[in-house]
Amino acid sequence: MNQASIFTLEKKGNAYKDFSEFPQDIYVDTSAWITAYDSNSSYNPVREFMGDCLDNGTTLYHSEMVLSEIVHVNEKAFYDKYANEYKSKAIMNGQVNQKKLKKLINSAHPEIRQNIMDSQKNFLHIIQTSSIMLEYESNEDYFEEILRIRESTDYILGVNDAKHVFIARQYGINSFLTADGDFIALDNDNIYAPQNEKYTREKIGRNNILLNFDPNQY
Amino acid sequence: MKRLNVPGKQTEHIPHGIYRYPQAERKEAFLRMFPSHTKDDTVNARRTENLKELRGDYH
Repeated sequence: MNQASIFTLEKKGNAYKDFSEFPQDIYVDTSAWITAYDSNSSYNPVREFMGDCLDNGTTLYHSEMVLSEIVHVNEKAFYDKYANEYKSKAIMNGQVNQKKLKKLINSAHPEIRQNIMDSQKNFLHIIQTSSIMLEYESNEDYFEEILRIRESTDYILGVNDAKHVFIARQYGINSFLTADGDFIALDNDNIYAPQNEKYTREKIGRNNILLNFDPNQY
Repeated sequence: MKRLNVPGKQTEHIPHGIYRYPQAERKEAFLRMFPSHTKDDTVNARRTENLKELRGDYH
């Protein structure tokens, strides 16, 4: 058992404080893509790191899981903008009926379809242009492995998270860029994450060296 | 657990997207793809919240 290495993304000048060596391959989790896409501030550490990875010869990867999660959260984000306004009209049997809610919003804000389509197209284009898709197959044995990954983290990692890990490890990739704090429960992996209180605390006492993929460790 | 080779290491693989650029130009090309400003702050914030909801809350 060897805890995951954690590298947070603060820079001093052009150099990263936590590391100088870049991984050869890195799987970019959905949470990291969402963080990178956010243009609220002039400096985005996740986006910057992805750019530095590309400059340093690292290949970025995603999977169909990433694309599906992006489509879901992006579309829902547009509907959420108006949801409170129409919830009371979408109540059926004491609960908000999501399909009815969508219909009401579609009818009152017909531009929402085009906005979702434009945003989705732009977002997916960035992912598919800058990273390579890892295809994966599913069968009972693979599903057992996904459950084993969850078990190995004492069920801290959710099923979707474990699927991302499974896909990457199938290709011998053990470096992950994520904003999801649950990934620190992994072993023998390299976790790259934006700085926050949790990661800063969890880094303490770990070796935090770039770990090679060792098939016998998983 | 490793069973497969990453696409870049397969002999028939043809680089696509940003990987067709020389390595030194990839970062600039990557950063250029992002919108320079956010059209709607609410949507950005909701994407993260929705992913937390989808996966079970993460911190």
